[in-house]
Amino acid sequence: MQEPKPRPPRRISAGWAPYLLVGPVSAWFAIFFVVPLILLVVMSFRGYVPTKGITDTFTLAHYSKFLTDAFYLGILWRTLKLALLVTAISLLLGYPEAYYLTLVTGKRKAVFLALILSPLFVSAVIRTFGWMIVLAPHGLLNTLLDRLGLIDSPVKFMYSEKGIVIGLVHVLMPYMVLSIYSSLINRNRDLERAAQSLGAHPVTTFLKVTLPLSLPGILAGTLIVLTLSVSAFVTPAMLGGTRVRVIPFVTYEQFMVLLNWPFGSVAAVVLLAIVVTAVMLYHRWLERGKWAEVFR
Amino acid sequence: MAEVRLEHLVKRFEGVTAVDDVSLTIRSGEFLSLVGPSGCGKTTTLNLIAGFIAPDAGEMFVDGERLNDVPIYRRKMGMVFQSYALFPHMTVFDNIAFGLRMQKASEGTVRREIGRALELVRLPGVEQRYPRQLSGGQQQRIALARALVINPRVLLLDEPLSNLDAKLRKEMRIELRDIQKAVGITAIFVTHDQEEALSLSDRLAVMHRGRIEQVGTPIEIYETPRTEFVNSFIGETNLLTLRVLDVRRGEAELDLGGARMLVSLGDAAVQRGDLIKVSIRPEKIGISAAAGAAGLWLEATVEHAVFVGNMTYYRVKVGGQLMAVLSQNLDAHTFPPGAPVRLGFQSDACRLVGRA
Repeated sequence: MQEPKPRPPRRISAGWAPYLLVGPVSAWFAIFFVVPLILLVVMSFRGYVPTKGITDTFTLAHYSKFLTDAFYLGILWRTLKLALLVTAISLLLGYPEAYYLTLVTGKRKAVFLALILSPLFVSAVIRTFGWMIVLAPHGLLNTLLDRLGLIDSPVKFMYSEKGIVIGLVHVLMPYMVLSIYSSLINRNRDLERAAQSLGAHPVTTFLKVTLPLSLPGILAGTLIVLTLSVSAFVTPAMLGGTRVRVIPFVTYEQFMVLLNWPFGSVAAVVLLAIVVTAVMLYHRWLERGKWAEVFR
Repeated sequence: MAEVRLEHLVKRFEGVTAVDDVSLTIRSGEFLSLVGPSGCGKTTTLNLIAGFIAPDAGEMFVDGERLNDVPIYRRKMGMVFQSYALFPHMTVFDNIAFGLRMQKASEGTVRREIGRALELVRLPGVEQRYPRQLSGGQQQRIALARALVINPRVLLLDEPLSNLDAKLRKEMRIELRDIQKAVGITAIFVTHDQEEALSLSDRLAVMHRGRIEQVGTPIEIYETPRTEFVNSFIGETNLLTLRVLDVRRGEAELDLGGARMLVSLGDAAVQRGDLIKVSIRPEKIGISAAAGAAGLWLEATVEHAVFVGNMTYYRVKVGGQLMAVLSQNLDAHTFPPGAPVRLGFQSDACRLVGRA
């Protein structure tokens, strides 16, 4: 008797599978992201006459104005500086926390994870109002510092760069901690034991083994925090306002208040170009540098 | 070379006693295996010696120097892990150099020592490769080279062969043993594989539930297991529950399927009518055709036979009891199921294990 032939399992034709899998999200991104982005770039080259509004002419005037005006360059520099500062502080504070989370289990871990994620549970506006109460001239933080005898007069947190950094570090910390945590949690702890048995002090072990192997997490965390803090709007707008402008705020002002869409577009495009270039260089530096093997 | 002494070591994890009053001396230059099933405390014992965990009680010494308060990185223990634990972001060269650089060795010394270490594990020329470019067996050789190159006082091996496939495992066994003897280092080897432990070790310590059940040479452990656990864990055995018919001159006469057999009692107090457990290894039982065999006195029936090439493995029925018999294939004949056979064994092949 002949064995019945096993029927081949039904599957999507290999030729179509990639399109079916990636198609929907690609379409979504194309319609709601790529097209508006192209329109934004086009807008940045159109003319603007205060009495008539946007004109259908091609001009580089907005770019030359933005890139030669010390006022806007100052804001651009501040935006990048604050983003770098927020990223650095998040990394320094977030790494030990992420490392600690890999050492504990059970209830303690749940509590710390919830604490770290808590900024994401609250709406941006509510959370920032909370910070305004804390950071006000006679708010919680100044009162506390005063009582402790650390200051003579209130520190200016509100409408200053300090306030923006504090607020952004708070809300962006979860991204940093979770990125680093995910690269640390599955590490082979035998590696650290091996290093120590070979004579490495725990600190040396961390610097030579644990830290390099968590670079992918550091890369992911810093990229997310950097890009999100460069483009952050609500927190800088509420804690910095018109006195401490950042580029997203300028863009908003130009579009919504001054109705100079071409100039607002220029601010957005310049920032985007800088960030994309910086991210690509950073990525390449890490992945092709001394630690390339970690990223394989 | 160094002697390791463990005295009354205790380690508890959340109320579970993983290591329970372990005392053991590992002689200088000796290859000693800690063997037992998972959860028996063998790896915990090794981790205590390495310094990865601290004991709750007891003391550890290397050449008389107390280890308890010496941090891992000053213990000079060469450690080899089941997971190889090579640093994935470093080349083979940098992996082996790691320990030497911690000792602040000059780069010239490092290069010379690494060359020598790679010769020792018979893997020269792979210095610039990364661990992921090596096979499992090669990675474990590099791990061994990395551990040995720092000239450790003791070599600690935590199931180093368990991730390798069967054939490679057997090759590496011999090689590991040769390297250990060539270097002349004291080695403590943790394994759950009793065959591995028997074939590698100068002595074995069989562990069970956090305690050491028996320490001895492979032959001592195999031939004269002192506890029921050692009996069943090391090698395969038939444990038979038999009634004592008579006791005389330190021997008990037992009833096995209507036949009489003798077992030496040693200093065990056994009386007529008691039920006792005896052990007999399957390979110590002779098997032959029912008719005309001299010296085979026990009648049995084959239940099933499994031909495994060099051996045939039988399960036979004697009286009411099932017994395993391992027979060397001296000729092409095997007994089919249902065949009547005769069995025989020397009376000293049979050992008293305890009361039933």
